[in-house]
Amino acid sequence: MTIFRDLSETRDLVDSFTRPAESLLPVSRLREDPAGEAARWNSIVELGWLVIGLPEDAGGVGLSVVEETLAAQTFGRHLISTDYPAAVLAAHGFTQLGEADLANDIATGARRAHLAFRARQGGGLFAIDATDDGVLVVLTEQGVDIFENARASLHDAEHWALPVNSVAAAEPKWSLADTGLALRGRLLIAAMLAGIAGEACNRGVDYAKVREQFGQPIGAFQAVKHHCANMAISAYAAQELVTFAAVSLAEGTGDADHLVRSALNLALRAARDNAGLNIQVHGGMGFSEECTAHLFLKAARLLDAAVGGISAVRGSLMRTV
Amino acid sequence: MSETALEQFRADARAWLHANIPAHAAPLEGPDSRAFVLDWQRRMYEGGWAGLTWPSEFGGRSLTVAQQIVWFEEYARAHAPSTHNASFVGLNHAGPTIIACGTDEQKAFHLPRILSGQVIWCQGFSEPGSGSDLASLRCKGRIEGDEIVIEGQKIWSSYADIADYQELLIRTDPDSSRHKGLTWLICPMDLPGITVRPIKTMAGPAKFCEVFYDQVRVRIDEAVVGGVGEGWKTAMATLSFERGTASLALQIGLVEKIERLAADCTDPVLAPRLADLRADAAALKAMSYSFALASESGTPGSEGSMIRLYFAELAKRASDLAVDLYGIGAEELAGDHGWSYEYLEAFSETIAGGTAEIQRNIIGERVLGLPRGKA
Repeated sequence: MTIFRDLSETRDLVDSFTRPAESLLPVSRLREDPAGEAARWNSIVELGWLVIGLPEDAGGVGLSVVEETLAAQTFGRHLISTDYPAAVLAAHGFTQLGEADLANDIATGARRAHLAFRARQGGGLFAIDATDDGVLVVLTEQGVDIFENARASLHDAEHWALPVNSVAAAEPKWSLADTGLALRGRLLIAAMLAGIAGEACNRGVDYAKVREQFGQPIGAFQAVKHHCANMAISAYAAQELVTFAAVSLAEGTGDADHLVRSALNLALRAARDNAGLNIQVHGGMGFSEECTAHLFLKAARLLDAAVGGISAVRGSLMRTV
Repeated sequence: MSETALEQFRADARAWLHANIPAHAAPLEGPDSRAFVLDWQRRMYEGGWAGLTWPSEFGGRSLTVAQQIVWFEEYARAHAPSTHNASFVGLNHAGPTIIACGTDEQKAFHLPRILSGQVIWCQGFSEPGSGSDLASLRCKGRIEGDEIVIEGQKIWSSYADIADYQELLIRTDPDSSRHKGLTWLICPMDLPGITVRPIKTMAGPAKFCEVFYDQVRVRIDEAVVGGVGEGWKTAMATLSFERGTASLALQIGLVEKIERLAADCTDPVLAPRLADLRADAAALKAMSYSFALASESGTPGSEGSMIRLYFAELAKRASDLAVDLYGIGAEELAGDHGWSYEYLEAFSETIAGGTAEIQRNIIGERVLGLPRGKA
């Protein structure tokens, strides 16, 4: 069965709810005022962005996975911290585990949550930006595992704009088996990646309109124009599929699992491709630290790591019906 | 329409298709192809399944976009004959253009014939010197009293050898250039002075043709649609009628084919490519449904150009993988509609109707607002 749902009102609602991101989270903040992220996080908590899809009786806004997913696309555009999907998953996870106090701590910002992932080799754990004693959230195939942050950093993985620490934490303190939440987490990350793909495209296109070489804007050259067209197609496909999958997950249609994994696969490719093309279109400036183009690439790669890498995502997609 | 009513509509469509699907696969070329296509169209017409996208005042069913999507889902699921056959131009191009710009007489004469499967139409737009750059076309029409005398050549005209009529775009103002001075004509294919020469394609069939016009005379009042010199506007009007559903059957059909490839794939080396294809197929569906539904309440957005290119490139990748998966000599590759044919035929997808390169220029300029290059 195909679900036909008019989302225009839903989009308007989510747009009004996420509009403060324009002033609160300009991407330039990450270069100009990285220290201000802590204060900005408090604003994010106050705006209720961590609990959009949490039921009202659990202290949430009470909207569906569709609204949660649309909002995550916007937050992805603004390169919101990886703490964001960690907190959303922790709030859902603790609520379902019956740990209302812990869920409340996450929702009110009393305790932070950080995204973590299993190392590709050796079975260890890496945490992203886990600079305090917040819990570590790992998205698994079956649901979520949540760890206390042991902070026994063995080494840092540099280069990724955010610190990535190895963590000595063998067993999760809380483990939730809920394939619905596992899918919801994947869709949330797919939505952020689709947002990254869309914003990288916009920035590449904007630059191609103003940067001049050989007496004309570089966007007039077909080679550059075609890069831009490719970015636009990738971003459009990722955004439409993420939303389509969200509706199917909300309605519980039989192909929801397949659509969510498809959305994640596509969004992973769209985000990294567009981030790379945005750097290319920016030329020498794109390769500089000063330009923010590299931040989209690094954010895409960290989210890729958090879902186990694109090979794992491809493999899981071939097992869905 | 309620979900229950829509599911009832689906059940009706499924039952009718099940009972009426032709027993034999569609022939790819020549008179057999004509007979098959007209027979199938007649059968859909008599069953009440013709002109689903056409307004009811012209014999169509004025279905909602959701219903059209459901119909095409069932159509693909039933493996009904490809809609990209000899009836495509009449139903999706010429007919809608006559609805948008034709005279009452033209509507009364042509529309019922197209809908009920009495006639085949072909398109006469491209010329040897005017491919992607359509506005450079030079095929001439000289106005003599109440007639136009056509002189010149067209090419890549699919099914011209079996067509009754052609939608023909020619230059009627000899002093004009580019988009001005063009006229959109209904040209009967049996007129004296018309010579059709089929061209064999790399995929086998001789389905598209060169057409030569030697002093071919048509009456202005019968032939011209949308006014002499207004041909470009008329050609564009077709696009605004088209609500993005004309290609839905093809798009849904491609998604189906990719799912079948995935079910057949046991090769771990090909699995990652297939995973990407499946994801992209799901995106094609998401985009085309959302686009069609959005255009129901307003004019279609410019995203259509992105979906079209996405489809073309996905079709090429899918058939490329199919040949890798089954291998030359396999049963899946054999026959008129096997993957060998699909693979070779798919190379036309990124050429016909504007090459992929031109499509990317259009996306860059019309969707993204990038500047045109200096000529």
